[in-house]
Amino acid sequence: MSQLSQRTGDNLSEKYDLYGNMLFKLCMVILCNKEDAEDVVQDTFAKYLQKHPDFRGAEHEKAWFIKVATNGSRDKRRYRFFKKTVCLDEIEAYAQTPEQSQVLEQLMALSPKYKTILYLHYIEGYKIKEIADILGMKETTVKVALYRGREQLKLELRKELAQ
Amino acid sequence: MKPENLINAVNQIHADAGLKAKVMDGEPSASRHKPILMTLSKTAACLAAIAVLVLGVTLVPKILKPLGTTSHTSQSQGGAVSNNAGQPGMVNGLYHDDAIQNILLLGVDDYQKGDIGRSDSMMLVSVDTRHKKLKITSFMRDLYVTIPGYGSNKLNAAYPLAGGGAEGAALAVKTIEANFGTDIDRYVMIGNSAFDQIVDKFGGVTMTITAEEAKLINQYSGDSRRNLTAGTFLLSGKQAHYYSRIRVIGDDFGRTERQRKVFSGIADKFKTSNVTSIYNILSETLPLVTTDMSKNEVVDIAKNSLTYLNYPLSQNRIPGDNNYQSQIVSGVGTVLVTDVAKSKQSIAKFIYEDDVP
Repeated sequence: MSQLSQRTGDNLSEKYDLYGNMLFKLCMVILCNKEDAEDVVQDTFAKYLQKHPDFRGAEHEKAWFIKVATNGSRDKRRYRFFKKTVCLDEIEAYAQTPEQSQVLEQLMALSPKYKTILYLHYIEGYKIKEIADILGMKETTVKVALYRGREQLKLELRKELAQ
Repeated sequence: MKPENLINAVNQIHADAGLKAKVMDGEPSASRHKPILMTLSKTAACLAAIAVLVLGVTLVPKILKPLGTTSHTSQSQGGAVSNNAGQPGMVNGLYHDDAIQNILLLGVDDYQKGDIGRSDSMMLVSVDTRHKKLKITSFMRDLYVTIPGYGSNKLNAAYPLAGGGAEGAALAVKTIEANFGTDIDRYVMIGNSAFDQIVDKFGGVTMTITAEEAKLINQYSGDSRRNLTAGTFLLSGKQAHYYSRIRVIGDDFGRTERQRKVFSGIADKFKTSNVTSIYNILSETLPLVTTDMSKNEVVDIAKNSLTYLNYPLSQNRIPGDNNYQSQIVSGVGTVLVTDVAKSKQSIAKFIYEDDVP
């Protein structure tokens, strides 16, 4: 038993090192609130321990974490009906320059769907098809959300993705 | 924006070192669902505030009082209002003084189509020709009272319980009489939109408002002008209406106070008018209200309105500051329970002064 929990512990530490920071960034972008983002990350790993899901490879595992964390963030937002605005203080704690905090502010002001998709596409480098699979959406939905999110941020296309 | 800028900015976000320790405990976060309750109570407060709009209508009734009514129904309780007859005393177990005319102003929240509405604003205006005073008593709508024939409920439930309209107003009158022992001579009832129109016919009402109130009025009054800040302004009908509906500041107590302020604001407006323009305004606004006053009574009041309005205005509220408890009654909601005997006394003292046992 102690051996098992030892193993689980090591495993958890490893998983946290792999995904923890990424999930926190994702949740932070969606929730705009550090406490909530930490809660969701914590819940995501608790769920991992509880369910110990079987994964088909590392990509599947990462996708599972992302999916659980986005769902958790969505639930959290329900309880934050009146508190969806961006807290500038929290952004400024991370941003190194005024430009960066402006970028974050604009990103966080988008609807959760848009910013989740923008995050997965730009920061995690997922393709539209992969995002559609992870979030359980249609590809066209993802494509439109990505397009609109980009429009709102006035984001230039990356050349290699433009085709 | 360049994609690199986005990526760099987002990558500045990083988890605290402490988060790993929390995760390693393997415990789910202590989920905080409390906010949902707060959300609900906020929503409830907003709804309540909307209901209060009707209250704003109350102001109009004051004006109306002089006006008289289109629909003075067959309900007239008889007994002309004469200013110098009999001595103060008890009539049918109710405090009464012929020299004091008590008119109940009912502001009815009927903004939804087909809704009977609730009499959310109730102000008793006493024209006291004996002591030469004008007195306003607000009755809080959440007062827990006995409604004759319907058991115990909130005061504002009397109106819809009797089916609204003239019967509803009559039951509201009866309920206040039965609980608080004061004879009410007449009522004037104003619906939602009528209030706005009436204030506008008067050319607005001047009120001094706080920054907080100004913000709410700008946001919700529905008036296209959003010009208010802290200070003294001439409010339009819609603005005055919303002002008297605000409940999120100082809850229902603050609201009844605002209603009395609007009332006295309208009274001030009258004082500076001449009799002709008062008549004109009254005849235009009469069709907008329901009352059991006869045409003659209305004319009589209008005739003397300048005298009455120059009486000093005093205010009272039931329940008084230290005479209520907030309680939750199942099926009714949060109510204000008051010591009825004390309230009775407070009203009698306020309206009849030393003339009543």
